[in-house]
Amino acid sequence: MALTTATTGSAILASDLNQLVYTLQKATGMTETGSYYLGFNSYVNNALGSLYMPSLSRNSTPASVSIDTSLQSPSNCSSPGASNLNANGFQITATGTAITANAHCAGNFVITY
Amino acid sequence: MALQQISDTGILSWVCTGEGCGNQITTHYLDERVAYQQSVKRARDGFPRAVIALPACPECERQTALHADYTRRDILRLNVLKPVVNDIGLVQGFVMHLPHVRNLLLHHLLHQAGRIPHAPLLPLLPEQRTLHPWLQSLSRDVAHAFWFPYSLIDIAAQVPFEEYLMGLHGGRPLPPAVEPLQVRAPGAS
Repeated sequence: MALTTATTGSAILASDLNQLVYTLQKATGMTETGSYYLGFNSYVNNALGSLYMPSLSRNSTPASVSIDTSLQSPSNCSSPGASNLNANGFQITATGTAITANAHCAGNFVITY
Repeated sequence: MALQQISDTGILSWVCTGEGCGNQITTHYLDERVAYQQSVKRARDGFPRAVIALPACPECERQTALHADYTRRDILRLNVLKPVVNDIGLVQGFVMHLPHVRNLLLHHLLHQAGRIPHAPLLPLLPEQRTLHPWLQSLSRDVAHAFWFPYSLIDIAAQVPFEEYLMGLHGGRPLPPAVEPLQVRAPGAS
């Protein structure tokens, strides 16, 4: 959801401030969305590729995370999984399925609080 | 999407968050695809960091993972616990938001089934605690929404659970058993 700007001469309302608070500190039931791109060298079959996705929200414990591969289907790697989920973000991992210099996948994620 | 329900028979249900998908997914908690995945075996604070992976959505193949291995710090955040205040604003106790309650319950179920080597930080509601008719009439996740914060606060030595619940209820006796929700099909009279 796009944030709204406060205008000069107008009162700053609680809702103006809270849109920032609820971006940086999600309340229960809110979600954070984004995209990822994981690319790595697979020097051997089953080589691990991973990346850490920091969330914008801090100080709120997420209940779940879900990821897809809608931007780039896995190429030379397994379907990615999410792990190490906490208030700072989560990790995306995949393993190589071939010896290749270019294993990659990409998609969107949704963190639910 | 967080778990929406854990039925008495162990059926998990949730909704896929895939764009334009919204598929309702169900599976049993003993499904092999419900997997405990540890990426950090033991962090510096002594707790592992893990998720419970759910089966991918059959429609869009989106993968969902639930938070597992809650630490005390994870649980004390305000989006996990909701304070219950009295008329003059004093905090009488806390209730836990249901998505986190269900994550903890699923962790317990998988631990009891031998799929996770350790139990979560907070214990299950002991059977003898459910003697009060009001508690008996609540669903398991709602009863644990009261029990988990109580067990975290660790006031068992001073305040029995029923008295703690009475405090949340404004000092009044607990209500009689509540009627279970009747779900009717659309159009049914």
